[in-house]
Amino acid sequence: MTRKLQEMSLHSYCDHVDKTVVTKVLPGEFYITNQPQKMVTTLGSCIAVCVYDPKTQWCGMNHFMLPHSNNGEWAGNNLSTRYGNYAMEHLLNELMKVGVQKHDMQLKIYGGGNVNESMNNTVSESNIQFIKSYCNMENLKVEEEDLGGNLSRRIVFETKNGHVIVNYISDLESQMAKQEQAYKQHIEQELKQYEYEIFKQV
Amino acid sequence: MSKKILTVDDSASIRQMVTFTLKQAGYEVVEAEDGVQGLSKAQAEAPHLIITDLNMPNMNGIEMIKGIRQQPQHKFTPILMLTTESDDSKKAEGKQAGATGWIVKPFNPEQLIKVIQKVMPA
Repeated sequence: MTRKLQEMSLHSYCDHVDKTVVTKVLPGEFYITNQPQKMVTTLGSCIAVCVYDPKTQWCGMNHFMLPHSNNGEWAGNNLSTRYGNYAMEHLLNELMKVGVQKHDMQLKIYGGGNVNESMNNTVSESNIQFIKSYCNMENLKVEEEDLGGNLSRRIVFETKNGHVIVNYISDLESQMAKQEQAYKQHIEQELKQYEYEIFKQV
Repeated sequence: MSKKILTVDDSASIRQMVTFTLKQAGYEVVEAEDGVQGLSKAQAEAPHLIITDLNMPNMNGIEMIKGIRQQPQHKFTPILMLTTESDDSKKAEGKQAGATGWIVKPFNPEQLIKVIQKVMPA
């Protein structure tokens, strides 16, 4: 399942230049904090959403991609859309739980680079389409977006002011392809699991 | 006459997906956007089953279930929680509030219908 990183997890380290804590958000993960620090992630065709609430200073970032769906179901109910909704809702719910109001959330969305030749070329395009229509449908404020293209991106999210720095990387293709391929297999496995419990028979 | 289901979720995309799944299976569907709206629609629409999210603005799913269980007509109505939470303490809270079952997202449409059929036989 999508993992919520614990405070100061193994993915965190100290930036020696400006002495701030930096947390890496890996594929399938999300992280929230109200501390001044940085969150970083590297994206190929995946999407990362950075959420900043100027009122409470709570911030969050996720990193996800949609699994391939070829079951021909109506677009609003297919496997891809269900997984994308789930990835987004996980992050937004955790922020709502700490008191962030949906209408105060400022979103910045990145990724969807067409970097992975071994995967279906429509993956990055589907990811972009999904996140745009999701934000539109949920009435979320998108302050900034940088999507598509042919390069990988390294995203640095500064939680003290909500600023995001994007670096484009041209020599990471094979590494990103490998990482995203492994993540894709992980999602497919994850979606086969189904968890429910009935408390009492009616 | 088809059975009526009330689906309560603050996410428009989730409501759309759940409604689509339920209508495909032949149920009549009523939607609500938060716990407050869910509470009043439970009273007014008299659904045979309720599916609700946990984290919602205005009133969360747990508070809404407690309120619905106070309504005499819904003392035994099946209420399923459909949520991203899989935490045992949250589940216990849901159970105590009067939930009938707990489904962890991302839901699988076929399984959702199976669970509904289990708690609300035709």
